[in-house]
Amino acid sequence: MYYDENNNYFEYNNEINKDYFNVNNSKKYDMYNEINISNPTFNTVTYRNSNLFTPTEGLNKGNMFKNLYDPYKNYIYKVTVRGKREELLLSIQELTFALKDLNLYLDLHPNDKNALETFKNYSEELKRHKEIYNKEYSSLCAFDSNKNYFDWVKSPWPWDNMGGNTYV
Amino acid sequence: MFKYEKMLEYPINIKKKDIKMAKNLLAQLGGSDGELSASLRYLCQRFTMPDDKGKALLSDIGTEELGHVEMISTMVEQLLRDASIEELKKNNLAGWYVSHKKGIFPANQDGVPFTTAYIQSTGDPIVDLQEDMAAEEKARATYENLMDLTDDEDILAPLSFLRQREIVHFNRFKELHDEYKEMLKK
Repeated sequence: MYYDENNNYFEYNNEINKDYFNVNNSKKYDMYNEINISNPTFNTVTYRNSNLFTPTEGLNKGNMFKNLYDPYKNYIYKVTVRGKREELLLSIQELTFALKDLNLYLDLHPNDKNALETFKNYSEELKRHKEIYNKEYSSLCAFDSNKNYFDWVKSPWPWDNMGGNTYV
Repeated sequence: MFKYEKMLEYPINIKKKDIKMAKNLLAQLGGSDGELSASLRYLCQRFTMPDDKGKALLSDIGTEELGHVEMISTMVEQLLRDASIEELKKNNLAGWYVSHKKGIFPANQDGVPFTTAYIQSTGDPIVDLQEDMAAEEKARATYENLMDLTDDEDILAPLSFLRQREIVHFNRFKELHDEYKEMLKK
């Protein structure tokens, strides 16, 4: 169980192999622990006294930027992932979200080198995660379908949650 | 061009049907301050932004909003999936069933179909960005009202996420708006 400062929590299945992402000795994206991605010089002007949430926390909150975070009421939310596939997809969603939010920031601050560095790191991580997902399960983009059958049409659609049994 | 990714921006897995909430959520699909409205607004306005920053920001937020249309549609579909015709009738959705069965259609919570009269694209970046800021605030307020109407965590979690996105977008639009105000003064 993972709690953040606002008591939002994620629940992970205990059976999940936590070393799953250690393939090809690639750098591990540790979704179980806080990653300190803050940098004292990050966001030098607008975000001088603040820094970023981790991708996990960011997706949970809907915001990567601590200084912009503004919650409504004190609800507690959880995402329960079951099995490796959902866990891997969630990590892809987390990294995609982190990149999306940094993307919007970088649109207005294209010369922020620290933000760009963070962006590039997550981008690399995302690429690695997507490669594993594509190899093990299916492609998320039709153009990336590279199996000996067209797996794009076979994989589940995002709203098909099998009667509430799965995130897809 | 646009490339589709077969995943939601935020995971949604609603286990309990809730016809009333499905109906309420239509406000954010085909309503005046909904996600479709937001997406079309920014994707039209981006063509007359005065510099690369504006073109980039409106393209990127407009694209994200398309993902939010998909999220709201997913929620409505999952909430309605197991509803019987009797239950639809009880919740004033017989009219919906006549035209759409349990299909997704951009209309608001009262069944009024989506119209581009909800949006504007004036060609004036200051005017457009002020509309965008207002739109994000209206959507934020709508999400808060929607959150007041349910205690199902499966619904609250994605609503809370979407509400927070409105706040981020508002701040980015405001930043750009203030910068353009300065720029155009000179």
